[in-house]
Amino acid sequence: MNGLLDVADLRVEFGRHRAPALRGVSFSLQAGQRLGLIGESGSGKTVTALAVMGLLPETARVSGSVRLDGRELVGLPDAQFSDLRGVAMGMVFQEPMTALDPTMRVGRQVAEVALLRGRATRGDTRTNVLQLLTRVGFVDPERIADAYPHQLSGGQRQRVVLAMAVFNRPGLIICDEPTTALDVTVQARVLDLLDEILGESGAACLFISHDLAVVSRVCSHAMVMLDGDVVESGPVSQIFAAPRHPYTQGLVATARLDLVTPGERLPTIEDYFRREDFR
Amino acid sequence: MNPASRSPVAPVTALLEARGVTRRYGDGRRRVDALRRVDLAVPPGARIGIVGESGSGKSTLVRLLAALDRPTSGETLFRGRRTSGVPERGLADLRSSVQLVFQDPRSSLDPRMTVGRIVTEPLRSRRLRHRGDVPSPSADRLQEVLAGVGLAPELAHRYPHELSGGQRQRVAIARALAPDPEVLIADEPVSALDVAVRAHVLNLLADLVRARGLTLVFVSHDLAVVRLLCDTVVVMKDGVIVEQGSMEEVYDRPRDPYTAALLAAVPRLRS
Repeated sequence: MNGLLDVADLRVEFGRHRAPALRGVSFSLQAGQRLGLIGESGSGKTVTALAVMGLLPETARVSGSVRLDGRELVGLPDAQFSDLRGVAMGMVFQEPMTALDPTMRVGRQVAEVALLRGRATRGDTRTNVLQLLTRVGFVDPERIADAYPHQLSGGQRQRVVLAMAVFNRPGLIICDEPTTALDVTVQARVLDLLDEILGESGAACLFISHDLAVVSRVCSHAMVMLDGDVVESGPVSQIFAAPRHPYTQGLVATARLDLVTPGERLPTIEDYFRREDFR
Repeated sequence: MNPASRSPVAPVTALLEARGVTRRYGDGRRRVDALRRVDLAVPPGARIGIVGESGSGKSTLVRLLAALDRPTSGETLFRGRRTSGVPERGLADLRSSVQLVFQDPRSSLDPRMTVGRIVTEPLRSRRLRHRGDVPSPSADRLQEVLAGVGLAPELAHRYPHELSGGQRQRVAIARALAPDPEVLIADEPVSALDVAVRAHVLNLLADLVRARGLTLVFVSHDLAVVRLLCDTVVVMKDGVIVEQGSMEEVYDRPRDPYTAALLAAVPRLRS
């Protein structure tokens, strides 16, 4: 395995008396590749992302390996992880307000990300910030830069967060349910933007979502997780058109609301897969 | 096209009705009209979907229909009788006949009550019991209602935090159905649920509506979900209704550009 991101036998446990959150997860992400992590809440998809970002709580027991550009991240001291976040990896979460400081103007927050690298000067940073805000679709970047986060809509905030995530041209962007809190029309615009920006920058993307349709729109590959295990992974075209694992078959069936005739019963996962038979 | 053919208003007395309702919040420069002179009639037995994005006014409209809030102007009616500007004691018929289910059962279920107590609570309300045929809050009724939503009898002794998201939403539905209402208003009831759980709750709602002949008012941002449960759809934007008609026609041939944009934005599985 010599990908941009190589995860091998990653196990994460929170306390002895709880089922492991991850039970030996392995996958590889090549430069520029977009991988969607799919699963229900509790399946381990977010824990996987947190492990890659070094954001697991201290109580988590982690074993296995996470390599970014060949560098081992498991056991990396927090100070060194902080140097990676925002520089080698950009992050976009579901709720943009968790990533934004409500007391700071938007422009300054975007600029702070630039200063993470420690070589930008204030003057050219302002120019860069305005360029970047224009790039994520703002026609009035000056006004946005001078606004506070609460003065923006949810979709505008998520575009700002996206601008911050790509500012330092990281090789990897991690998105955890980035459009789940947005209205459908706003979601469509943010996904188009993400698609464009990933295409332009050539960054790889680890994209977490419970929504198969959203994953199929952004990603080239998908990995399906259940109770801390990977049940199936492969190209999006194969996973969604010809899922092999019964759990994936059930997930795909429940997601195809468009195939159901009104008045008909919706398919459920249990029509395909029984949890009791798993493991 | 004959516009009357697309109107959901049947030539019978509407069960729930809004006439020219406006709901204004704040004043001066901060004034926001969440609803602007909206008319809507819900005939008995209708299954109406109200679709729109945040800020469209869809939740405000159903809160007014359920008399949980008062219009700034205009009026709301239940069975042809005014419910706006009426004191709470005059709303007994509405309170017992119209029940609601909300998006997040965690915030709508009292965490200190057991499931059994939550479900039978509406049956103990004096105001609700005003209607003669409201079932009594007996153990039998509790079991009947829990079974009706697919919950095991022993869950009656549990607390909401001990349940999964899907189970909690079933409890909220059980509570709504306990008094045998005529109308169920569901405001984004599956939006907070995993897709796997969503399918179960939608099947349950469809079964209950069919078996009990409920009138359904279903609020959602998701047209794909509304299509499965409703025969009529109302599309809202910025406090007004931009389009309404039969589900099939609006879904297949939207007339308003906003409805078309909403439909186009729904992510579809590419396979």
